[in-house]
Amino acid sequence: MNPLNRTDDVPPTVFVVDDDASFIRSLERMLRASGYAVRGFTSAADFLERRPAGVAGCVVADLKMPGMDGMSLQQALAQSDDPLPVVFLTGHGDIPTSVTAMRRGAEDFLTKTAPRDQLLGAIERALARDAHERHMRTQQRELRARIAALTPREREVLGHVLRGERNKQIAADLGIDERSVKRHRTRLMAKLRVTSVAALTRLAVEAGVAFDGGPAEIT
Amino acid sequence: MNWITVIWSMSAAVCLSFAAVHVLVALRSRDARASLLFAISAGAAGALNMLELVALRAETPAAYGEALRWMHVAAAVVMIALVWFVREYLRAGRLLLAQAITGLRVLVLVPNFVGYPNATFSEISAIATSSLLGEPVSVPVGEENPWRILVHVSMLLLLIYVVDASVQGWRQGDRRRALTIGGAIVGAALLSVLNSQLMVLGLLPGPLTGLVFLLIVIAMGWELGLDLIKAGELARSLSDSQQRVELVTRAADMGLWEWAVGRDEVWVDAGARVLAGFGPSERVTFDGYLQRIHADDREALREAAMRALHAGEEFQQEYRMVGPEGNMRWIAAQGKVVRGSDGQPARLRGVSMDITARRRDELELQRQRETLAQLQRASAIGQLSTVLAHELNQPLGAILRNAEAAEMLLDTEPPDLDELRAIVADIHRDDQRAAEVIGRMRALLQRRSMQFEAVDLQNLIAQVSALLRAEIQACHVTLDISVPDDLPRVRGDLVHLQQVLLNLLLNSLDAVRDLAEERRRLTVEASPRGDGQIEVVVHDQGPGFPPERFSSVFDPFVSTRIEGTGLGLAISRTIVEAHGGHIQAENDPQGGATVRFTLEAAHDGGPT
Repeated sequence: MNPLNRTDDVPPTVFVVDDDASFIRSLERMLRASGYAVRGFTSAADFLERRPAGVAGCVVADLKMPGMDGMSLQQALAQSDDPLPVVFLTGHGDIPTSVTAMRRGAEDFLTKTAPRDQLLGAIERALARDAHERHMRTQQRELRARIAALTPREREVLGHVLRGERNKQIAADLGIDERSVKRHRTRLMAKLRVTSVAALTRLAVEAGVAFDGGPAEIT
Repeated sequence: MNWITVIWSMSAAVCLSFAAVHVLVALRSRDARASLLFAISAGAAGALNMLELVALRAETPAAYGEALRWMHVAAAVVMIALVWFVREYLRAGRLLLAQAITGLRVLVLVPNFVGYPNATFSEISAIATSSLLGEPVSVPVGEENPWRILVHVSMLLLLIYVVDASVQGWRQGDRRRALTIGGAIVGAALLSVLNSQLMVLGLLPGPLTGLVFLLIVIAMGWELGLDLIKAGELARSLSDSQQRVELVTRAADMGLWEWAVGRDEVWVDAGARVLAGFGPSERVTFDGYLQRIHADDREALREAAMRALHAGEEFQQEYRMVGPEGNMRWIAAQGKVVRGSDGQPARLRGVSMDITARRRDELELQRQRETLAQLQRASAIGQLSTVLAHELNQPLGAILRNAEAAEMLLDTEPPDLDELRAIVADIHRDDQRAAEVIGRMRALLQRRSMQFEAVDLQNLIAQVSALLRAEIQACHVTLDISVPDDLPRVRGDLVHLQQVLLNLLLNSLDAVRDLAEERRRLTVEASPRGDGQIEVVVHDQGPGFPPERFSSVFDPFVSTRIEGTGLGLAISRTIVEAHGGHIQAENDPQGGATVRFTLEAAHDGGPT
């Protein structure tokens, strides 16, 4: 069974990672009172090891921590197959660090004493982004599965179609007759569940595949 | 006029002149007992000469006898004064002999006045006429007085006494005096023996005693005259050197003083009078002087003076003096106890100096040092500001989130009171944490002068490492602390010593910041050194001090760090040295830098 399917029964969770237990406790209380599911971890390593797999949500992490700090945590998360957006909290925001953090895709960068609205806004945005990215990832996986179900010849034809070639031209390029091209085309559109070339192109973009270099690349 | 009259009269005049001069000297100076004795001796010698002249001119046995009788009195006075003069002048001669001679000469006067014409003759039967220098002189003819032997004995004792005293005087160093006085008296005695031998042989009409005594008087007068000349020279050179001393004391803004303890009179020179604000002729007593001293310093000065007097040691004290217009000046006084002839401390003599300007400079320097130390502290704190803000925002953030949570919980029905209680307890604790961070920072930033107390190093090191904790964690540095539990406390100023340790640890942190993690290790050790000093060592495994700057790392504005002020080590040294300790830097052969400094163990000594 696909572990990602478990997301359905667990609500999106805010993971709080901070070396200060008292701060974790206070943030947990506030977020819970605001209606969020919250889990606290006192170190980045602890979080990476014990986080529930495939649970949607976001991370609120302290930037400075003994051991693995916030930036390293963000990097590790981005490289994992189950990334989560990170909102950084810091005692004292210094510009070079915040720039790096934002460039690496941090959702936000706030001081620990930031107003509640700002903090909740950042968490909301992070959760929305996670939901969106999660949706995108699911869709992408599904489209890739559909593409994977095509025969090699169908993939070849698809490549040419996406390049905007006509049936006659494709038939000439592949050395087959025009009717065979039509048949492959109908079949692949059915497998990919699209009805027009425009929809086909959009699907290819969403699946993250390009066909510029030739048929071999569709695998 | 004839020669006899002329010679004897002149001889008498010479003696009387000497006597007159030295009577004046003796009257002027209370100490000149030698002059008085000499004056008596010379006066009596003059009288002797006059009486001898009368005797030489005597026409009847009775007249001769009468003159000779009084000659014995004069001779006795001359001899007795001479004996005591020698004791006084040469500071030599045996007391017993002096008393014996005095006694004998007085004893001779008994037969001189009882039953006989004089102490020389038991009877003068006739006067013969003899010739001296072509003049006729009277010579007595008669029987010798058996008591005369006493005169001879006294002469013999005088000889022994004078030779003994001269030898003693010679040994004591008064060689010229001993030679002149002793030589003259012995010579005169021998001359009188020669004279009486000549008289016996009929070559002289009499012993010519007056002339013999004249010889002694001249020798003594010569010596005393030389002394007077010398005294004059001394007085001149004394006044010269006094002027020189005055010049020096004026130039150096010093005053001379001398406190005669017995009379309680303080002599002060013009400079010291000006320093103390006394009038030129005002009488100064010790208590009067103390009245000019600042009330806070008065007792300390009195005690220092008394201590010096009792122990007979050097006196040294700095105190404030309040001038007539209420202006205050710092005085440094230094003195020495002078003992009287009885060996007891009699005087305290010394100099005082106006050190107001120096004191002001010292205070100014001290103030500047403290300002600099404070600035450097602020800069060290500035380097920590990110870390400190983090430490502060941590509890503040927790308080804020807790308060927000509590607000929301209060809006629910029913509110979760247990959770609210837990929130309030957390807020309390976090508030305390924030206050502690601020307290630590403020303690370091506060400007204050050094206050020495017994400082527990274990505690101090813990406080500083608490200040640095976040920074140490952020840099992933390991800090090892090694302080024995029974380490004695040190004498020092807590905040300034914290600053030293903070500076050294900040330097070390910087040195290891960019190294591989296993080398990011600092150690702080404290241990007793055995000589009452405690040594504190800060060590890191960084690159060490650059060899070309090694000798100057403790100089101000020498920094090996990019954002360093170059003051950390300089101020650390100032602080350590103000604590009576030493600080030194070393590079370790296997890499890394070590800075060690010493502190004095506190006097209470006990382990903490």
